[in-house]
Amino acid sequence: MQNTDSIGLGAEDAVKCRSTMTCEDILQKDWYNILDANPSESLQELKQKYQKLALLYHPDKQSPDVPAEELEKRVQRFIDVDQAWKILGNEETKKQYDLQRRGRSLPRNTSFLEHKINMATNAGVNVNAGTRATATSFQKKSRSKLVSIPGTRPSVQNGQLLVSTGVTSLDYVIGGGLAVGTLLLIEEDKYDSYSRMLLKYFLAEGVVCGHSLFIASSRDHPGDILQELPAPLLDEISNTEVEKELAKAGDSSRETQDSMKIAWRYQNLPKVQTTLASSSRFGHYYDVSKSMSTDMCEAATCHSFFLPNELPLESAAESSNMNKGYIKLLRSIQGVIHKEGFDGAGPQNKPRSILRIGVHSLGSALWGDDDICCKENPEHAHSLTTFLYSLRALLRTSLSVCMVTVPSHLIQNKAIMGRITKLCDTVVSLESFSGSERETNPLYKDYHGLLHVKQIPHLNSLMCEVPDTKDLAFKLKRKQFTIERLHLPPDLSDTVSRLSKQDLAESAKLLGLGCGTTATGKKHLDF
Amino acid sequence: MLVEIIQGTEGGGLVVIKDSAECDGRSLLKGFVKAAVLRNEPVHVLGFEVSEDELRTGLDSGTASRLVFHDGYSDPLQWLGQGKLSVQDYSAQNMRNRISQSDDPKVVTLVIDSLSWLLLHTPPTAVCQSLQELSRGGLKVKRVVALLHSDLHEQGVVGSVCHMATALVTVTPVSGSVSAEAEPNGTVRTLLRRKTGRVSREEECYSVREDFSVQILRDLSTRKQPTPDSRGETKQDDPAANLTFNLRLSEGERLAKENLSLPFTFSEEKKSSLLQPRSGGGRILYEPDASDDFDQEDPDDDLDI
Repeated sequence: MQNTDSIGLGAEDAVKCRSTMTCEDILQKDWYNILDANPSESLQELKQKYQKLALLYHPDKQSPDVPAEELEKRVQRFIDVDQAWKILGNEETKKQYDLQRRGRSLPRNTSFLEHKINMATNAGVNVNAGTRATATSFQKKSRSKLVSIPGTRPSVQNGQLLVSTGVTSLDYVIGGGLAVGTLLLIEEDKYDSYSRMLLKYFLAEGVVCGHSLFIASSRDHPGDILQELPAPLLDEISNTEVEKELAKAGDSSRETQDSMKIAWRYQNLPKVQTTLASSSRFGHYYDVSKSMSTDMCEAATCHSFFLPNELPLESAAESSNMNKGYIKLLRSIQGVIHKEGFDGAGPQNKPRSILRIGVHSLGSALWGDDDICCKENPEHAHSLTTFLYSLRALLRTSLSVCMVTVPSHLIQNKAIMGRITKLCDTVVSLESFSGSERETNPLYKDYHGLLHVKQIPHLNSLMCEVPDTKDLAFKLKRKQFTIERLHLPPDLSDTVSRLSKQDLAESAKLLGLGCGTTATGKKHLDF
Repeated sequence: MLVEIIQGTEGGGLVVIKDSAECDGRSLLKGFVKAAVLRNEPVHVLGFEVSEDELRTGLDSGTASRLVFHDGYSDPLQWLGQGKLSVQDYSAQNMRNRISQSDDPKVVTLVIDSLSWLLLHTPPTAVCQSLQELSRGGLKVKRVVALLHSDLHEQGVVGSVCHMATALVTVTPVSGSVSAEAEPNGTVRTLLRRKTGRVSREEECYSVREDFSVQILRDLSTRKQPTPDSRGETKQDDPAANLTFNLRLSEGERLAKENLSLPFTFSEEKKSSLLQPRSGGGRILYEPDASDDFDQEDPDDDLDI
């Protein structure tokens, strides 16, 4: 990569023009300058300019009384104009040239490799499938202008571009947010109540941030799902409401000081934080009891894929390596990505946005996949895995993010679930207490279920951000879906009766070793 | 909850009755039919497993007119070619067409006897998709009640079909003592998925009488609810009782205790100033005591000049 400061028609350029154009040659000249145009012009305008200049400088069109060197200059100019049109008239080469032009605006002392990375990331996305594919939209912290898309922020750990999942506690648990270009898999709870809620939060966050939505479902119509989205709490978040109450209590009287008669110095210190949240505000809160207003829903661009409408019900069993429903879904997603320009194919000056794809209950029998959920040794298990692989490839090359829910409790073969886990980036599993014997366990009385983080991706790095505790429980409150660390109650060996202490010990064993080893069995130590 | 489901007040959409060889669910299915007919709703039965006569035994003639039986039993694979219902014919569209042939303006309850027969001849996805299509409601079908024999299929198939049900009624044989009044047919565990996402479960002992009306004998729900009241009561066990020494306070003792001023209780201004959030670390507040004699030149106070 040669550094050129002046972009003009020097003598050496004239020599180079006569030979075949190499890659460096394309870089050295400012083709827009030659055509007297700027990059934001459309193809039509560029063509008009080319035609005008070509007519002006064509050798046959010059009048005979032009001096010789002037004639030569004009001919040279004509060759340049012609070459410029060859490059800028073809969409593919124009895109390449645009990328490289922007890459040149960087500081000159970067190394070759960094320069290449910067070029790709400054475009924000991999535009052309033919060029070398970089990973997700990695945003390096450099002086060049960053692509700023509403509703996203760069990760504090590795600079990845993140979006919120709609649930702030879940964002914290998976490392700050969901990286753009990745796939989040939610393993459904047994009756699919909380996983549907998470999907709705995800889509509602997209509406609030102004992202485009793509809803795919085989059971409920996507229009119904869109209408059931929770309403955002736009004015206050629940934290500030609590603070307001505290302030009111403090103003009223000094009664609160009397309640802490001896330890009054600790009155105003905050209580132990059990809810997980990061310090900066990212993501919104939603009120589950109200649904989103219709004008807000209509303002969002929403693409939907409802399987019974797309496929005739009585279609015969499919051949190929992917189920027909999956093929259709994949093509539909690909079409939307390309048409709306999420892979960078569109013109540059359109404001960028993210496509949020939500797929409900993938792999269930309603998607036409009769093997994974129904048989123990399915023959067409690769159907779903091929679909996930292709989906992830699509996501990596576009500004989109996807949340998929899978009824993993119906999948009989655990090895297949392992394969599915490996093919997705972030995997979270929900286990709800409703209907199980854990519902009555006093340890779990504050929560609705357990949340297990099965996998967190390593994106462009060797390590990933692991949450510091693995015992997480969730609770769906009206204004918040909270995910908290599961605490064991203090082991008060003298006041608690023997019977209930044994119960606690049993359940503490079930929770695993993460929470301390106070209750280790049926015997308790007497001192 | 079983009664509400039978009456149709709850559990619209798809009701699946899951039985096994130990305990038959067909009597309960007939109970559903009877209740629907008594509500003046037309009932269409897709019969594959039992003949029409057998299904109609026990239902009186008044109900016969509102019960339309689609015969899939006598010639299921259509060897005789008499145009009866066959398993290959089964699809949502075909069923809708059949139902609308009987031009009845009211919406229909569709009873499938049984799903197991269909699942043995058609792939499970087709059955699930057609059930979803039929139970999604609208045009002619109010709800679908289907019988499923759980021991005829793989666990995955049963799981997939039951996953789609709005109400799942599992019939199991009676265990435990028998009540005096009536012989129970079995215990039934109902699971109801509501639209809000909440799930309710109940377990009851039922019996089906001669005229196929269903009676609940007793409620067997053995869930121990951790009610806050009962927990509060157990917590209030007075720890100061039953001791060999006295831990309680008399009235005078309590007053004296409260009047005692504790060390480090400062005046109100000092307390509030201390409670204000400080930007620095800590602050040392020194109030020289009466016996403090702070002499700069002689810190140890031992020079006797």
